[in-house]
Amino acid sequence: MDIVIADDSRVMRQIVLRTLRQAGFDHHTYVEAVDGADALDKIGATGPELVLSDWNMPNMSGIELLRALRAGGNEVPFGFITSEGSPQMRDEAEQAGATFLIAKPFTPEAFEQALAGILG
Amino acid sequence: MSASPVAPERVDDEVVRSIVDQVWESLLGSPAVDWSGPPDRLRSATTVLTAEITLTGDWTGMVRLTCGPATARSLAATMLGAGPGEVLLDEDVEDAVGEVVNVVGGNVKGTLRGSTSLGLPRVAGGAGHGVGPHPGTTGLLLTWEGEPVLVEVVPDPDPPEQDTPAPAGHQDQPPTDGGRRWTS
Repeated sequence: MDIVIADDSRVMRQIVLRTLRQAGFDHHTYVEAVDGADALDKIGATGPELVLSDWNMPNMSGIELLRALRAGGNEVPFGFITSEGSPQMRDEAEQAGATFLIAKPFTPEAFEQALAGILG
Repeated sequence: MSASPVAPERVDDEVVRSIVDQVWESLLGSPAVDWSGPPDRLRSATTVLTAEITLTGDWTGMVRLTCGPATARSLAATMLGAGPGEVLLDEDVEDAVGEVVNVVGGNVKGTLRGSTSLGLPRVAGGAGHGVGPHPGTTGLLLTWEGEPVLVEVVPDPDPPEQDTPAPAGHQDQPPTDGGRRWTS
């Protein structure tokens, strides 16, 4: 299963990958994207089963990416991994079509809980 | 007619401490420990690295991390899980300290009243002269591998008038200290 990870921080992408493995999700193929625009291209090219995205990114933010996907009819499961986990952000994420929002700093347990029903 | 700007309130010490404790445990795998050395160690340093992220809107200010270049490299190595002797690129080091202020900043934003937008991290090098903490700011002077790391939440004493909230993810103004782009 392909999973796209979008974050303008390479360090954070590595931390997300490490945490996914710690949570037991190490048998998937991960595609990294450096911002929302890059993620949109790679989602179109790879047809992933899940998108994990930061919110605040240059060129195209995570919320802009999600809205572009939904506007284009792409219903791929989408989760935010972001430093901004306020109730308002969670509402906005849900309204835009996100399945979940994991707030940074996160734990492997948070990933297990959010992804178990999606990745199995 | 826009409202007159009001100087933002100082963010509570305990709130910042709680956030930094969680960030240190998650990103660095160890608790945030207070610095017990000379309080002016960073201020007297020849070169420091500063990572900043701004918050704009109903609360305006920034979150800033300041440390020595070698300390920044060590923080990055830990965050990346780099092995002994593994050489890190400058961009990875800048990325790492930028991400620390990004996560702290996002969590500080979550504690603020009203509407505030978080910018993108900026990293620069400069001299230690003028390094805080300063009155009116919330500052935590921590230790990492025997060297100081300063984490500050700095309200803007002269916030701009707010007609409309700043868009999320916008690129911020260059660091006010005129710091150059850091290279090793």
